[in-house]
Amino acid sequence: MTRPVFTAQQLFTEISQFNQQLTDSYRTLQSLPECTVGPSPKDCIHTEDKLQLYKYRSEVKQSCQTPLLICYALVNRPYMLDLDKQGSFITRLTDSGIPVYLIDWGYPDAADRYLDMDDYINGYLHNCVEQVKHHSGQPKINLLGICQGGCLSLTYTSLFPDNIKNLITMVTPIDFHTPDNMLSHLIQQINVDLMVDTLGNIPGQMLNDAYAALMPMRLSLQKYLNMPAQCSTEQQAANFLRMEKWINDSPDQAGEMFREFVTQFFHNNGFINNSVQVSNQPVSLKQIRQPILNVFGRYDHLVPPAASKALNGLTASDDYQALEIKSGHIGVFVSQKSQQTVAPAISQWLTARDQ
Amino acid sequence: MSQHNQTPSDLWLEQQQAFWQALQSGQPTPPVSDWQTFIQQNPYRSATQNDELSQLLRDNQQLAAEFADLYRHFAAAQANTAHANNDSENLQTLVSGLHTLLDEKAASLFARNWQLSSLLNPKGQPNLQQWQQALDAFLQQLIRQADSLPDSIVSPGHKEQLHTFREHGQNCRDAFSALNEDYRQILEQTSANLTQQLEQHPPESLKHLLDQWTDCYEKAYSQRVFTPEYQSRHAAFNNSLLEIIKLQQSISQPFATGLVSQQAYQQSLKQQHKLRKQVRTQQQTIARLEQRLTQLETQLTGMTEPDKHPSGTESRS
Repeated sequence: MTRPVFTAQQLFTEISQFNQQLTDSYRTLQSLPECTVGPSPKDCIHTEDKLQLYKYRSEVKQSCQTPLLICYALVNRPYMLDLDKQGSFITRLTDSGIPVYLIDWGYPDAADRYLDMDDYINGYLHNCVEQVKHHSGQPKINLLGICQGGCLSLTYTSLFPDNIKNLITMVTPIDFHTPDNMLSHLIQQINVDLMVDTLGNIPGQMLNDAYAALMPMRLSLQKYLNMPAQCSTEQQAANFLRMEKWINDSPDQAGEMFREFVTQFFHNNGFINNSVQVSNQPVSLKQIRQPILNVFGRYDHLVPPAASKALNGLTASDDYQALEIKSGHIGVFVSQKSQQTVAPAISQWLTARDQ
Repeated sequence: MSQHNQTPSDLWLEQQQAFWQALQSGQPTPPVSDWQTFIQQNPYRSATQNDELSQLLRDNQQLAAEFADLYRHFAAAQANTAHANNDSENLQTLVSGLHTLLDEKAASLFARNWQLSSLLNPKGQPNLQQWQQALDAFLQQLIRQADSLPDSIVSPGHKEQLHTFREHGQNCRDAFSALNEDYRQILEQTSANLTQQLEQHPPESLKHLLDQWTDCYEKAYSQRVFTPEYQSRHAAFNNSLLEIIKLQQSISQPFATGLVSQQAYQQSLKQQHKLRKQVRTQQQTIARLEQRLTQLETQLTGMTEPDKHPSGTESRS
């Protein structure tokens, strides 16, 4: 004889609780005060086309003389590092005495369709590095690249090694052909030339759809069924809303840059095959002798740990350190646990190498 | 609580409570509105959030409501079954029930992830068959559009392109059918995985069951996506869809209207970009030269400045 999996009483209790959470979250979200992001005070010190370079203010005595420039990915927006005061990765860095600068790439539009890797590396990134050097009065800077920004930072450091004192890569793909990289597997046979020739700039929404396709049910069914419980208090609801705003704020990608990045990294696995070129200049990671801190998430589904770990041994650095964080791609920056680990570890690592 | 003091959400909760109490005691259930209807009747309004965030919240609540109703309907169906016949419900029927419940929702998400939704918009909550019909209708319409173009406005180059149009349309349709089959197998595998898991770990709650289903779906989906066959079909679908969009763009070129062509527009953007690059390179060169000049000036000043050391030591330096 079989027995019922759930009794009517069990179901009644569960659904009553869910309904209550549903109405509570509805009320909480209705009455939520204005939800803002990027609370840390900052000044724009340089603009170029749509790019803005910020210096974060700090009242804390500097523990590190060399300024830190954060190079975020071109996909999504950098305010993920400063969503709210309490959980701000940036604030944790500035509070520990690190002078922080950040590149905001802006939103490319049709006029930026032909921006390529040369423009981003030799143009925008290089100009930002020079601006930070000038603004801080230091001959070199520390560079921190996040995800795709890590690839740009590695490329930059190998082309302009004299400008960089220490290099930090965070959730950065190095080996794009690891067997567990679903995004890379899905993009291998996509005709990127056809895509860029047809669409011009790549719509941000298309990238969001591609990311959602990596875990379709977890990012829909599970996420939305958990939403009422996650929005029951004002603080939780505000956190949820800020994260949703960030997820949906996805800039279009400059067409030529997208073509080059997909071809050189996703298709040709450029770092591993030593084939990356920027405007015909060969890029060799062996040019990098700087100390390197490589931070990655153990449960990262976008950039699997193996893709990041591959950096070990590819450069000429004799001071390479890997830091594995028990979280996912975004969790490395925003999860409560990571917040207590990651920024302090970076701060310590930089301070120890500031001689 | 008096009725006029109650908020719409209080009333909705009260209705739900009455419905579930009746269901639990085996009484006829009173009519009850679902959460999606509630959200439509009481849309999110906020004086504090900006338009963009308000819209985001409305979209989120709409999506959350779809899943919430799915969850509550399934719970109601399970409660009915549990009440009607305690002995008939088992894990297998639960798995089948979930399969049926989530089929359409999963299919809709599956299709959205192929970027189809940017081109097509079937009404309501489309299943895969409706997506297929919408795709067929779209392709037919494009073919008709291409066939109806007067020869006078179609260049020879474009005529040749139009020949490939049907081919891409067929490729697109074939890849879509193959992906449909993949999807069927993912769903079948999900049920098989879930059955196996439930035998070892019976669910503690309905929500736990849905979480288990999600885990099993992701596992089955991931296994399928990592096969070279799936990747080829996925690419074939996307590439043929892009070919079609490209052809559609070339067909709708505004030759006859006297407006600038897409080609000319792109050419001017390319030219503008080239100039932008030149200016940037020149600015960087100027900055380097200025730096060098400053260095040289400093060196020169050092060389020509009289030595500040006491006389007699100058010649030794």
